[in-house]
Amino acid sequence: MKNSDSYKGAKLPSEKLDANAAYLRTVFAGDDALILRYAVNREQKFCLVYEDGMVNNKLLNEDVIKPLLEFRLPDENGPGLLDTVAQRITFVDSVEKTADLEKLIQGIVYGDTVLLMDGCSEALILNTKGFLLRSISEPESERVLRGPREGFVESILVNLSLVRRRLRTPDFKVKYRTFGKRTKTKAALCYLDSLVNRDVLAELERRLDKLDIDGTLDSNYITEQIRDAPFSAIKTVGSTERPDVVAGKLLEGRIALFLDGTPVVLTVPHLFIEHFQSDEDYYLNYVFATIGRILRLIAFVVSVTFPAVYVAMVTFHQEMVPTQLLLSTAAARQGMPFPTALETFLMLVVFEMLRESGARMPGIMGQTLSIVGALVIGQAAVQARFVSAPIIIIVGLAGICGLMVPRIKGYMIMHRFFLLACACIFGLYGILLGIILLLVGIYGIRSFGIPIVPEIHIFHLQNYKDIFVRSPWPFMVTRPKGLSKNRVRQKSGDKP
Amino acid sequence: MKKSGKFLAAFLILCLVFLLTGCWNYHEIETLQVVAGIAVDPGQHGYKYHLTFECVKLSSAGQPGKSGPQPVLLEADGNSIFDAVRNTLSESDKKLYFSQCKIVIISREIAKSGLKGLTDWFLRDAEPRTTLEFLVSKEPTAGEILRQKPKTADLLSFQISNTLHESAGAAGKDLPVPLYQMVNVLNTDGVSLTLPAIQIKKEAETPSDESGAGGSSSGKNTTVQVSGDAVFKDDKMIGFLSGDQMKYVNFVLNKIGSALIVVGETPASQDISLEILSSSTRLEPVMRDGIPSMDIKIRTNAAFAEQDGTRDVLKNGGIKKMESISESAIRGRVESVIASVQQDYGSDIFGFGSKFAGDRPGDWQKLKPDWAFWFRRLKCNVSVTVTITNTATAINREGEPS
Repeated sequence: MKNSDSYKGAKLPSEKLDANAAYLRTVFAGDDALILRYAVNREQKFCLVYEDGMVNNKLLNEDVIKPLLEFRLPDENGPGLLDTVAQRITFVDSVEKTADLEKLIQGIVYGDTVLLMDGCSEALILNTKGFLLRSISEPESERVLRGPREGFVESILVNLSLVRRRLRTPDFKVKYRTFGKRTKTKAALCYLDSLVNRDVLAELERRLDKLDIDGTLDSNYITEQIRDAPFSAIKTVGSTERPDVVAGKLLEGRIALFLDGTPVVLTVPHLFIEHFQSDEDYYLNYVFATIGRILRLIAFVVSVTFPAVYVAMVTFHQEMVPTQLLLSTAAARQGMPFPTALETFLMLVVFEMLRESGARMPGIMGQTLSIVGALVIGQAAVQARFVSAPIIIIVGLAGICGLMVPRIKGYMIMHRFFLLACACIFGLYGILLGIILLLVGIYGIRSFGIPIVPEIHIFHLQNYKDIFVRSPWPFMVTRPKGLSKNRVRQKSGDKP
Repeated sequence: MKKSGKFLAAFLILCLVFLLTGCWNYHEIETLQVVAGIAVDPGQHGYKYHLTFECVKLSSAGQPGKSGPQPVLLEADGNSIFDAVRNTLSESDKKLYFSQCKIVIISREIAKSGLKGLTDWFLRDAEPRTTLEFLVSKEPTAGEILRQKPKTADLLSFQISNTLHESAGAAGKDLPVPLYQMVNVLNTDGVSLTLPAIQIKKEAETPSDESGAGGSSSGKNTTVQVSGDAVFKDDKMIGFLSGDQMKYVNFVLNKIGSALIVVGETPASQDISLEILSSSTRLEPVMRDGIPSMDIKIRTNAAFAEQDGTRDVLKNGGIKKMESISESAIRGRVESVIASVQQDYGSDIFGFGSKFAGDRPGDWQKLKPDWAFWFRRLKCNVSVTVTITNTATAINREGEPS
């Protein structure tokens, strides 16, 4: 079967039903799931063409076939009768009359039913989509204790409705697109018209237009082709499975990109601090949310730097270690087979292996993993004097801290090793040099023209309201800088 | 960039500077022989120095038996300090590591022959800290101090270091001098050095502690004890001051911590303790008719901490009386310690000379050549104000603080 693009501009070949049906049959040759159902009413022949399993059979039977067979057809034929069928006979919410072969094929493969009629070169596309969907449930990766528990599903229409329900305003714009030369995946670009930054929107559309891929099964297919700094480990396109998060981002002036077939919705621009912002931050008391935010930022720093700092302190700068700590570390290191640097590197790799096996493993094997991880690798390795005990603590701490900020996982793992290498060669000098390089890297990245680290060196309280702390809502006066030209979120001065 | 941004950037750069310290070569922690304390004696067999190092012997975790760091002594001779340090490598498989070294004990003989040559390596080398503290041994050698068993800590050097600070802070009976201050004092005119002194104290044998009696100390339990300070003139030791004398030296130097003042209603009795809460001393150099003198003004806040008698001494305005008793006691003791230093040692450990140099530089130029002469004859006017601010947790029946 050829790509549906190759039928662009083609029409149904004939007015004869049999010829048209045979033609569609040849288009779908080799597809046994295609069903042609003939119906005859007062000598007038109809043919319903649809894909088995993609349509709602009950609707097709009762609201299309039944009226088609029972209706007293008027004495007309040709296109006029087709209009009658569309307007007076079938009970279907969306009916389109067309002769465009590409549209007809698209309709059939997406669960619509094509109604062919003898004596007419046009056909009707009836919306009879009916395939099973996963029900709406809380996304596993973004659970919250307090707040909405809905998550996106794999249908773009359901997903759009979930967001639309939260933004009941005509300001909410939805622009459809199609991605994938073969998959023809439906996508929607959503934004709030009065808030969106036009430059960002234009840039996003420009990049989407350039896209030329045969299939988009998940939104990451698109992300990696439109993002800034494509090879950096820092995300410059956000993603979420939660409609409330998307609504919140739209309200800050961002743009969302929905893709059919995936529950993951993209948002742009994506700032660095969004790695640390949880949707729950906004639903919980601001004190609690702020503590969480700060802990996440600390965990990020600890996770990236801690193994490196340990190696630097123990192998380069012993004079910086408090005496008692130095003595106990040195005691633990007595008679260890590997140098500290190698030991740290190996244990970090082992930790990543444990994490990765945990992520991909059927849940029922979880116990094995924890036994192997905790007992064999942790305790036994120390007792057998393969590795020193402080390393286990350091690696464990770095690992746990890393799990606190899962959204920036890749960056953390990569640069943990990078800083470790710096530390092994140059000690603390190396770490500082490495950190400076990382900072320069982060500061240099823009997401759709917006710097991902805003000007936090300019001291203005509104710049900090949602960075290191989550300010109480009355103080959230403006939207984040750069995202929207229309910055005022609420009137200031109404603070309690 | 706005002004605040510049400030923030400068601040961050300054923060980074503090991190950029230390040596940058890779050496594993377990290959270091951590030195906790050093004793310096005159050398044997023609060498100039004989050094005793108290090192930390690390028993690795998981091994049965003893846990925690154990002391191990290394000894070496050398013609210089560094030479002796390197000579330890003939008997130790690890290089000595001095960054955690707390104390250096020098023998009397070395102290008497001068410190300036001795301190150079400690100051010049990268590893020893400038907060290293020097002590003078009252025993014939310094090494025998380090051979004592630690009593309250794992390592004797750490015990001595802690004792120095506790004793200086809460008892005021010595004055620890970190290396950098020591070198400053040695190179400043008009001030002389004191260093804490240490001695071995014999304790009565306790029957229960039989295992502790090592063969070396002939069956007697012994321990080390910080006792007063050694007095230096230039860089040579000339004598000792007792702990009680040092307390009043500390008064003059404004370095008294929360020491106790033990006084009595009569000069002979000493049954009342006052705990110093805060104390400040101002020295005012005075020049009259070409003759220098020094006004010493001590203001002390104290708490009435203990009375060792049955009579309530605080009744009927007793606090006022206590204040004046303690004022005159402090004045008398300060005067007597100054007089004894002036007469016995003629060494300006109080830094009166440098006070003149700072406050009256013109006069100091005239006094400087003959300062040793003037110091011995310097008249000191001591005035003391004691305020008893509370009586700890006790009050008497009338509701007055007692």
